[in-house]
Amino acid sequence: MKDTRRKLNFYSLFDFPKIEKSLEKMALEGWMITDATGNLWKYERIEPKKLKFNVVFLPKVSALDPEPTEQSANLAEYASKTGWKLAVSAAMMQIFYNENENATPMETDPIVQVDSIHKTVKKNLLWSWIVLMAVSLLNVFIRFAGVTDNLINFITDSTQLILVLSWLVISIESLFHILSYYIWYKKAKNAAENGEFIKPRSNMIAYYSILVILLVISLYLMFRMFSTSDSRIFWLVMGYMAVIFAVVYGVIRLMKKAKIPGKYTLIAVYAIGVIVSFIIMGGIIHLVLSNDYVDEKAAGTYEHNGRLIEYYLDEIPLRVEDMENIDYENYSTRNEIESTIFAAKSEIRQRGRIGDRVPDLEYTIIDVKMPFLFDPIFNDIWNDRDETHDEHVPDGHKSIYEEIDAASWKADRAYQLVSQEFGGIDHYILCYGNRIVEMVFYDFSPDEADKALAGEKLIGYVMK
Amino acid sequence: MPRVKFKTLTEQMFYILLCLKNECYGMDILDKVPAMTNGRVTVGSGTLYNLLEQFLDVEMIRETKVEGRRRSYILTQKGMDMLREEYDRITAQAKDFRTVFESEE
Repeated sequence: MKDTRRKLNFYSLFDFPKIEKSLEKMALEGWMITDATGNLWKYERIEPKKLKFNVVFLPKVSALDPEPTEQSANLAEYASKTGWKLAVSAAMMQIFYNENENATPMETDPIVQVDSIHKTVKKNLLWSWIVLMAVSLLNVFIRFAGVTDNLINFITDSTQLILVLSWLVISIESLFHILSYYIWYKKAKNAAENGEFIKPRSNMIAYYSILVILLVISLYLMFRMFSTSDSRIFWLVMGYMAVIFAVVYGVIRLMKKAKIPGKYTLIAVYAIGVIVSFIIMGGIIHLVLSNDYVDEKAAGTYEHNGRLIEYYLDEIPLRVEDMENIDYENYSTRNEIESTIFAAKSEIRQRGRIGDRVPDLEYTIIDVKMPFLFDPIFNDIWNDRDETHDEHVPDGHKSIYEEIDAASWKADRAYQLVSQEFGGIDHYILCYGNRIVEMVFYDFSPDEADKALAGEKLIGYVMK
Repeated sequence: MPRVKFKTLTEQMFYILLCLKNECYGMDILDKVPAMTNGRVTVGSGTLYNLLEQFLDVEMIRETKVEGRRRSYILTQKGMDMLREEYDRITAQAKDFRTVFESEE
């Protein structure tokens, strides 16, 4: 029979009445709390008994102070006088128990109690909620700002969308904490004036629902990162996070053991965290940029001016060779597919090796899944190149899309970029139902037969 | 309207300060207050500890002796003034009470 057990604590520091109740229930079942740091609390076996638990907050104590703190020991001395024994000192939260059910409670003045809770929450939780909310809102804002720059990339990138969603969830969660705390504080402060103590109550169902959502999002992101990008990057990022966590946790433990005051530990944790972060991130960036690093998805490499260049042999629906009579075996064909509930995008590049003068082909196929997004996406592509309203380019030098014969391309609508100086450019926008294709021909121009063939292939292409 | 800190004192604050008119171990206040009030007022050890810390911070009391974990305190002039203000407030209330009820008789 095991004499110790660990159990997840589901309650926030601020929700101490639920903590007290849960500890009383554990004692009745024969388990006494012995460690309340982190979320996985430790219990030791005792004779099952009815005990009364009280949580007292020490606002001046920091989570980084070495245990037991001077304040904790002093409070325990006072408490012993009324039969209260210290079960656990977990930084600012001191947990006491008493065998006498009718013992004078540890806290008897609601004004003092509300004040201690407020100071503790302000020092340890409130600022972290506010910072978290500010950071998450800033992230949502930055990511949404990206929509105006490149709508297509934004709505076809599931990682981007899921990140926006997760930051939004985090900001809502922080706001929820701040609001629910302040609603309680206002009520409790007023009630304390009349000698009444209103117990704080946090909505843990909402809190844990949010945590579960965030966990699912994180797992999805990890899975996506693992499956779509280079697996070495995935492991490097995972390793980076593990090292940072281990270093920070290790430093805190060491400094606490060495009885170094919390404020110095805080400075050391920030300094070491930042330094180690820079070193590891620098290392990762150096590795990725170095000549030895080859994309895992590449089919192979060739050397050009002493540098390794990757090439790809992805399947693509339309090739230069389908339209041009060319005998060239060194084409790199890249097809990057992204898909979300809003749209799917296939970004296709067929390029010859650097230095080889051969025709190249670039086209992006976008399948719009939600009709209301068709026009914004079309306009996004259009405005990327069309200089009609660009005041920086003088009239007579602009490039402007002009509608051309769509039937040649077997399309519903077709547009060609036309330079006011040099005439038609081999840059097209083609519409096939809900599919939009932007196509650029380098060093060759499609004739009527090429356009018809391209149309057929583009219509028949299934994005997988 | 919420009170300004220590502008008015709760009953427990009042009796803790009263106990510290003469130098006294902090811990002994836990026994002194119920004795002084015939058990009408009791002070919890958490409340006492946090209040002593707060009174020290605003210099209403000062530490006089430290013997291991046993610390003694005594009221400062500032603490004395606040206690007096509270006494005046309470006696004014009592006087008003008497005025109202005695005039009815």
